[in-house]
Amino acid sequence: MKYIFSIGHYWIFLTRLVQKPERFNVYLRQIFIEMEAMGFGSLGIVAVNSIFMGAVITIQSAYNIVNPLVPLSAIGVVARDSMILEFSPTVIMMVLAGKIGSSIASEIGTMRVTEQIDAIEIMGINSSGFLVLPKIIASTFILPFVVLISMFVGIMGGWLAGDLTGACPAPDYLKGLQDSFVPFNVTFALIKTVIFAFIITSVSSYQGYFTRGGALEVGQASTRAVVYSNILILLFDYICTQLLLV
Amino acid sequence: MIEVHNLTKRFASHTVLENVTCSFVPGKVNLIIGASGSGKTVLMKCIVGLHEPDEGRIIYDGTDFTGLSHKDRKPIQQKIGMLFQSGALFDSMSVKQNVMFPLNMFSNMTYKERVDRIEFCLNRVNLSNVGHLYPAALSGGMKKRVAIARAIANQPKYLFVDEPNSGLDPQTSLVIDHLIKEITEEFNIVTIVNTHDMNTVVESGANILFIHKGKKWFHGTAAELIRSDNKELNDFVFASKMMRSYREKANQ
Repeated sequence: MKYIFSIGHYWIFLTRLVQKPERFNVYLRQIFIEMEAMGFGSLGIVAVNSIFMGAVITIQSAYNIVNPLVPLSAIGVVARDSMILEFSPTVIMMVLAGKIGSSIASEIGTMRVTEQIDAIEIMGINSSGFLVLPKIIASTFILPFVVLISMFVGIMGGWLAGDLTGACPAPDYLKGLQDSFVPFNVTFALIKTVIFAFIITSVSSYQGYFTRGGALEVGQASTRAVVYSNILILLFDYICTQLLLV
Repeated sequence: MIEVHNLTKRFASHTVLENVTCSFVPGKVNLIIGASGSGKTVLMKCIVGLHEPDEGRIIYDGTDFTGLSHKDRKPIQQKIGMLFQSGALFDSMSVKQNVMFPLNMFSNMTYKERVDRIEFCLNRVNLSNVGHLYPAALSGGMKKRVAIARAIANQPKYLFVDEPNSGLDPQTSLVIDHLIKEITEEFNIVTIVNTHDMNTVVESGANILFIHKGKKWFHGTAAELIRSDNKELNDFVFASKMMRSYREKANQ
């Protein structure tokens, strides 16, 4: 019963976001501020995660390919498709749910418990629209670029690791990258990214917006934001794969 | 003028406010006093629209606020300035950006006019040199003064102040009280201050409403308050030795 209530409450919250902005240029400025924070602010952690994921995929693939009939270029294919189809759009977005989601929930939650949201409401401003809508627009626009960078960096990581360890020499790896490439995989990954970006920002904002209490509850809201975002990402990852790839 | 008619507010089965009727006049500091948990903050939140009353009406200069939709309330809400107990300054914005926020959202001023207006407001609260600072770098009293500057930036007709002196030393409290009184008289606005600080009652109270256990117990001037023989009111207002000696002096 509680979950059904929460889903309905979340839906009402989303419908309140789409109202005419009081000042379009103020919202626009907020969108750019959020894009900078979410996009540039996430590049470091995304790059580090991606390069190591790419490296590990390459070395593990090399370790598992023991049949001499399987060419070494298959390692490049595996690394490329793993990064594009799953690791960059899903795992990286789960990492970002931890970084961006907890930040959003704690920011909005703190604004709630320190009456900053009440101050916005009293001025006659749609507080949920002003605080949340720019975050959703910014994330759905900027995070696909972050995921594209992750794909590139991850594949480069695999190349470096394969060449430096001798597990997969560069010519084989590069040949594998070009073998049977399906451009739709990138489109599929970007579609998933947009959906996950929406989930992370809207779920985390919802958790923060309805925080009641003090510092303890802000922390709990932040934790719930990350947990629910991750569960929903996995659920929608399965749904998208079933709908778009099978 | 703000009028409240027969206002009742319940949370689940608990009645927090019961049949409260009162009015608040412009150009004077209207006080709502009462012990913690008496319902004065709920009354203020009902008046500004943060809580919906279960019964009763709230009238802003002849317009029934309770009967309006959220959209139709906006023109009235844009004339409201509010100073919260904690200041409620936006942490992510500097002092200047905080004060400019209502102007950015609602005014049609040019950037130069907005900058002039925030300089005027910050000067008015004697904080002309802190515009570049962020709220985390300000003292409690400075935060309250910045919040006052933000509240008056858009030239409000109604100013609501919730516990202006909580957490402040007596000297700073006095500065804040005087500032609120000066601003109220200077701009002839309806100011409602929610407090349980008796110094504020003595310093600036003109029209005083005493709420006790969710009901209106007293509504009158400071002079009437001093002469009142209402037991609950006297127990609350003259609880301290200082206030009792003040009453004796006033009665002499």
